[in-house]
Order: sequence, then structure tokens, then C-alpha cells
Amino acid sequence: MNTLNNISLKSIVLNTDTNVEGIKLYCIIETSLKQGNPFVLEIEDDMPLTSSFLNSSFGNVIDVYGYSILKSHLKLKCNKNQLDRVRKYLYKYNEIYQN
Amino acid sequence: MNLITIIVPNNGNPDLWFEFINDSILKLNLDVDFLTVDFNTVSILYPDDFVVLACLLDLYHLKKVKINFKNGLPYLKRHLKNIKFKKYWNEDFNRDRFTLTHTDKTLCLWHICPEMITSYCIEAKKFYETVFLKDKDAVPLTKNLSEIFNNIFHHSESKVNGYIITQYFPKKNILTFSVCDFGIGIANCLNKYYSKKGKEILSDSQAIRKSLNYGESSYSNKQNKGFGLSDVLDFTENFKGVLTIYSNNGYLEKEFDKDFILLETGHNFSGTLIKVEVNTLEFDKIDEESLIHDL
Repeated sequence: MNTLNNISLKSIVLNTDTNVEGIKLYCIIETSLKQGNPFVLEIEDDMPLTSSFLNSSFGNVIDVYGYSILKSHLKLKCNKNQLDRVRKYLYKYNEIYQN
Repeated sequence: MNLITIIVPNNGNPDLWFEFINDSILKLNLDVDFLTVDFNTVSILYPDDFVVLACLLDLYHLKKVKINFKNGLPYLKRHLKNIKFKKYWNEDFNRDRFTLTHTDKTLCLWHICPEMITSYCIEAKKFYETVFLKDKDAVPLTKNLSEIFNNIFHHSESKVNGYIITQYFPKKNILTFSVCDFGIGIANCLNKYYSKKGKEILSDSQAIRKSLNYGESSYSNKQNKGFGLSDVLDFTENFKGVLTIYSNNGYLEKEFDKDFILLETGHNFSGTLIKVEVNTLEFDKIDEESLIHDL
């Protein structure tokens, strides 16, 4: 069985507050999608994932490729609190902008 | 040399405060060199009062007016000294930087600066964790601070960037922060967008209420999706707190487990004042177990 690559969010972005940094994550996800290389994104406990950051990263991926592609391509390594925040955002985003 | 004095209201009555702000803004049209801020018999200023007053003083500072202070009762004088308030408009004082205070119950008054948001939030997190959150997860707090800061820079078109101050009340386990800008205002911003789209214009309080719905935005930039203020409301609800917003002629208050209070105020406030109050006992413990999950 192939092991997925792990990518630390801290190695990609300077912060998780802004649209600009969210676009950096979007570019990484898009490149890996085009290459067909799913990966595990490590999100540290202390990163505040703002809606601006999430809009420009995960939100953009959903707009361009769809929610199911994002779900099948990416896993998260994080604590439960961070997971709940990301899942809540994705649920809301999908509910409002994909229906 | 023209000198004017503005007299700070000696109670927290919002009607008096907004009248004071509007009158003081009108005085900006005078040819003024020196401004005296008279605290007369004021004994306490609340976080709301500080951020509104700081935005007002920034407007004078922008016009190169020299600012000085007088009076105030001893308790207020001590607090002003503890948070270094009177130094903020000195030429050699950097209001954009995180300023250490002489009290562990107040996190500094900070002039919100886009380049410094991340470092402010890091310092704020350290402060919260050291002083009262200890082993609890401070991320929801710093995330919501960033949401409000981003909201100002994306929508407000404010001449002054705005201010924030945070206060902790240990006996009540209440953390409160107030953020103010003198921009277009949430209600005007949303109604401007509705007008452009041919949608029905709302009363100011209704427009503020609407801005708290997920997906409701003026789309000032194409990446805005209307999640920021909705998340702030979720924050005060989940942490059994209160969200209060003054903007233009609207007032909104939402206390956990109660109905929205919406009022038309007649304040003609050109800007937005947001007050967030949460119960620190509701914060989750830091979960250090990091596992791999499907989305």
C-alpha cells in the first residue's frame, strides 16, 4: 500500500489569517490534484483558520473541482478541535455555495 | 494657535457617547492646533469607550493636531497610566505595535494594522494563555479577532484603521473585547450592495442582523463569502456570551439563549462598534492528540 505524503501547513503559509496565504494552500492542492498525488495536510493546534484563509484555499478548490474531489484527495492530520472547525466550514460552504 | 476642548461623557450612556463623538467630529472642521481631552469627573471608561475615543483621537492626529489630556478621577487616571493611553498620540509612540500594559486584566489598546494582525494575535494568544486560559484552547478567540480585523479591511473603507482593547473580569470569568472603526458601517455597506443589486433596502438594525447570516456579504472582494461575522456570532453563542453591534443607526444585541434585540438608534454613527463578551469557563481544553482524518 502506498503511503500518502505529509505536508505541514506551517511549511506552506506564513499565517492562516488572510486570503493571500489561503491562495498558497490552494496552489499546493491544485498542483497535487493535477499530479494525482493525494496527501495528508498537517494542521498544528495553534493555527487560527479564518474564513478568509479557508475561502481562498478549500473554498476555491470546491468552486473549481467540487467538494467530492477535495474529500477524496485530501486527509487532515490535526486535533479534534481543528478538525471540527474545518468540517463545519466545509459543510456550511457546500450547503450555501454548491446547492 | 487655536485650542479646543472636548469633554468626555462621565457615564457609559451610548446616546451621550455617540453625541459626543459626532460633535467632536464636527469640530474637526475648525482650524485647530491643540486638542484638550477633558476627562472631568469620569472614574471608569469601558472597552467600548476606549476604542471609540481612540478612533476619534486618530482623526485629530491625522490632521496634525497636538493632543493632551486633563482631569479624570484617580481610578481612571491609574487605569490610563496602566494602559499607557495618554502616550498613544505622542510622536515617538508606535500605536501599530503590541504595547505591554501594567495590568494583567487588560490586553493593550491596539491600532489595528493589517501587517501586524498575525503578530498581534500571537501576542494576544500568549497573554490569554498565560493569564487565564492556561491549558485551554485559545484558537477560537484569536480566530475571531482576525475575523473582525479582516472584516474592517475588506469592507469598512475607514480613514482610521480602528482599535481594539480586551478586558478580563476574573471573578465573573468574562472576557470582553471591543473593536471600533470609523468606516462606512456594516448597515450602509450591505445596503449599498443591495441597492446596486436592485434588492430591497433594510433598516440599519435589520441589515446588521442580516450580515450575521452565513453567506450574506457585500462581496467587497471576490474572496468574501459572508462567513466572518457569522462565525463571530457562533463564537458568542458557543461560549455563552453576548454580541453587541452599533453601526450607523442600527443596534443589535444577541445574548446566548435569548432573542435578538434590534433597535434603530438615531445615533448617525459613521462606523462600526463591535463588542464581544464570552465566558472563559466554556473554552475547551487543548487536545494534543493529532490523528489522520478524512475530511
